[in-house]
Amino acid sequence: MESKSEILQGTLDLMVLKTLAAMGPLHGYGVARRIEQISEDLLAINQGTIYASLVRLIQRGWITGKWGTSENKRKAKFYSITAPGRKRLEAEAENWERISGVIGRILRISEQG
Amino acid sequence: MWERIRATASRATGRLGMGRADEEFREELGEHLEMLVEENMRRGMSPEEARRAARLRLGGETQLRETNRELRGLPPIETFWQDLRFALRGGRKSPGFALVCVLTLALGIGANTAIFSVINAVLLQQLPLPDAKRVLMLHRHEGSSVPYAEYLDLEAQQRSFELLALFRQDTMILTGAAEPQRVVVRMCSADFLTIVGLKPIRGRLFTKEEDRLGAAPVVVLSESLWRERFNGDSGAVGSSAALDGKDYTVIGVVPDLPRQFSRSDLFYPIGQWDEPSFRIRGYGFGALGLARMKPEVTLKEVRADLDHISKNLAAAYPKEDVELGFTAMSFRDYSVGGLQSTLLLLFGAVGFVLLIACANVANLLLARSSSRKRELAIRVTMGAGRWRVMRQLLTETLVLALLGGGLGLLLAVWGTQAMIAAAPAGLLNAEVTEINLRVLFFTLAISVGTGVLFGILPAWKAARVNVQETLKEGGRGTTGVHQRAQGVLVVSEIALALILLTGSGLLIRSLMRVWQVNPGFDPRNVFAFRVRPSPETAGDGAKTRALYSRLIEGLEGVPGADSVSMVFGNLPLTGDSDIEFWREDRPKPQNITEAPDAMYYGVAPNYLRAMRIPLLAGRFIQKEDVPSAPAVVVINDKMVPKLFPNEDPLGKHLYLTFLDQSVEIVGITGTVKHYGLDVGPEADTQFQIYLSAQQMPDRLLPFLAKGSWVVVRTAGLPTTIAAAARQAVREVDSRQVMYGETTMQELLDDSLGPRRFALTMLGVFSGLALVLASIGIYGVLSNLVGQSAHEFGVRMALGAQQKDVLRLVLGRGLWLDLLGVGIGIAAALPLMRLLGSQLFQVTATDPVTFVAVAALLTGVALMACFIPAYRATRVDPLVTLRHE
Repeated sequence: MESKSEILQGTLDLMVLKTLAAMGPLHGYGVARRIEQISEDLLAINQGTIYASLVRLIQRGWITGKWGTSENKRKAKFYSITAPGRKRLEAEAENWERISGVIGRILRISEQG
Repeated sequence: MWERIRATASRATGRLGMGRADEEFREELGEHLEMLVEENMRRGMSPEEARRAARLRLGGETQLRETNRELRGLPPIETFWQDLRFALRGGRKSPGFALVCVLTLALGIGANTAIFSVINAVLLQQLPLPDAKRVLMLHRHEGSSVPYAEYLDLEAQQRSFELLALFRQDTMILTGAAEPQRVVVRMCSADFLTIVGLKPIRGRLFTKEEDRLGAAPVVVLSESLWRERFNGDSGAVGSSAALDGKDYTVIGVVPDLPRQFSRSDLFYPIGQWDEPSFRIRGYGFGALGLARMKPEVTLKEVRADLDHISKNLAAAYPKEDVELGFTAMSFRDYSVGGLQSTLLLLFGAVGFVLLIACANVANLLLARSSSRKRELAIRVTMGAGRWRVMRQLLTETLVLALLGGGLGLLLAVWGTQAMIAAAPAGLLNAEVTEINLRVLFFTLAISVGTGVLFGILPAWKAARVNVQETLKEGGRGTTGVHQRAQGVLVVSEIALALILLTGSGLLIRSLMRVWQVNPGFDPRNVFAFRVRPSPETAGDGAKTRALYSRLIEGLEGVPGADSVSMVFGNLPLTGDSDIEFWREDRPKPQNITEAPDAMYYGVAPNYLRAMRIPLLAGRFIQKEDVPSAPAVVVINDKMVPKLFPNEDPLGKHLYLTFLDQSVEIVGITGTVKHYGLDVGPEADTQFQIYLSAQQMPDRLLPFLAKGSWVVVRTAGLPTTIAAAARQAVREVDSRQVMYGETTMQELLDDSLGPRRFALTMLGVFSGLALVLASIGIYGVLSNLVGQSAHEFGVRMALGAQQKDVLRLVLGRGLWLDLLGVGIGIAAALPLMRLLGSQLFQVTATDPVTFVAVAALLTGVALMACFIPAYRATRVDPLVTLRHE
């Protein structure tokens, strides 16, 4: 049923978490927009895909969702990061840095070899 | 870890609000889309273009919602609901199929639950006694009674028990304001009620000090007697009750004994019983020991302790206790008795019935899955995994099994009641109908178990479906694999049915053999009842003798009474008492235990005529055999070759221990089957002696009168004279009590009760098995004919005759049947030994039974084959071929 790999899922979840941590409460559209902007539209995903991330993060208790009104006076569900979410983000970010560092080094090694 | 649990919990709760959550998500997506549209329009797109582009960027709504739902719900549960809905829809689509499956399963599961609820009540339930695991029954040797004198020594010397008691049952006449009433008295040691765990509702229990000769006479009432006779009045405690004419003080009331004991109306300290011979070494009087072991002691240590004491006593009393040996068994084993093996046998039998039911339903499912093959193949092509297909089919079978289980539970409630009704009196009682949690759990487990059992084969077959082949076949297919699987199932059904039928067959043959046994008397038209003389009469020898003479005279005047007699000791089939004896012209044996035993009957003159026991030589007891005349005895024919080889026993003398007198042999009679028709040859050698009731010594008469029976041979049906007999007894002495009315035929039938019960139950189960197995073979052949109609059409188009087709189908059925019969016989041969003592003069490998059962099963199977075979011959070649 889920065709994407765990890593890709995890990456998207991490991005959503970071976005919410940086920007404060946002609705789905806002999160998607923000990720597109930061990635300079390099991540060509359907915006709807982030809802899977949002559900997973809510289920783990890392974010919460609450209905509210948007800047354009629209009804929208706003998501915000929770304390455990922040903690998790820190750990994941550190983890990510470490892994990407390792992967970077490995890639350089193979270039030299 | 915590997060995973949290996620699962959130998903689980999410499932509950599924509809609402979905609606909410749709709204959220809608708003998102609008925001995208607005953004696009801000960039200068036309409204339509903006909306189209927004949809593309957001993604397909349906798919997003589906993903969202899956994430929220627990996936396995979600698919389970899907499967369940599908299964129920399938059930609605083919109600006939579902109904047959559910009914078949309900029969199997219901029968199992019924037997299990009885097993649960009888074998598994906790005994109501405190520390029941430590409670033991004590006997002298296997099963015989413990004499009081030996019991006192045991009590003094034992080191294994924290509580020890002796008890025996007796009857007394309770007199007072109300009608004289015969009551069952349990004479017992002070600790008996403590071991059983009965606490006084009113008053107190009796003490060790009160449990001895000469203490103030006291009794404890059972709750039933207290409520019935004393109207539950608290004032009953402290009042006095007259038993056998003697006054006793009521000191307490206790609840009725649990059902493991026979009913008792009141309790009385056994040590106060003043019967002189009760205190003689070696005289048991039916007393048994009940004990509670110390917690740290094992049964092995108890036995060692008992052996040690037996040896001590044998050394101290070489004459009386030379072969003394106390035996101990757990109270549980004692109270369950012979029921355990019967119940386990029946449990095995219903297990077989359930297996047959499962095989049958599996068969139906297989037959149906050939027609569903196309549907399943399409599902596989559309991307359903094999595991997914299996799971769906298993869900369907589970639904069937649970429905069957629910219906089975109802059947079980009814079945248990039917079983209790069929059981001989006292074997089972109404408590066992209770359906408790354990029984419910058993039914649930067995339902799920059967669902998996009969569903797994069809599901596995279905999951291995070859998609391309199936679709190419156009769903018609010859499906060789299915037929082989069905064949296997039918063969096992027939084998199982054969085993059950053989079991019933052997039991039927045994019962027929038992019926052929000559009881040694003629049980037809004999009315029998017991009489307890009033306390004033029973205490006096001359009065007792006169009473019985008048009683017999009075009954002889009743119209329809042919011959009337009475017997002290025991009537055949009702119990036994024997005495040791030796030939007076031979030296007295050194030890009393070396002397032979004989069953004794103290009778009035007409006993042989009333019972129609043949007199073989000499004469029988006569009116003239009174106390002043020489004491006489009549022996049975079994005694002659053993005691008087090549001698004429008439005129010889025997010395009888219990009576302490010498008697002259005056006649020889035939032998009576005292213990019942089906008692093995070793008991056949029993010696039986007839004494004159009038010549019984005075000191024994009060005791003997308690065990007296009156027998009346009647011209017509024996029960028709019951009312007149009652009237006659009252006229002779209104203070005596008449009870235990029965007929000799009834006693004989009752003695075969357990045997008939096992036969009835096994008969019902094997009948069920036969029906189910024939439905199975019918189903397989119907399926075969249906699947092969095309082949038959071609064959007949090419010139095959109807009889060729008939032979083909019947041949296939016969082949399956014979295979099943062969396997069944091979399995039954060793299994039938489990019937053990249920068999009577029939071996476990009785060829007659085996052949008859095989023939029956084959006959029924062939009948079941005939309908599909006939249908095969009606195949119209043109019609089937046009179907191409």
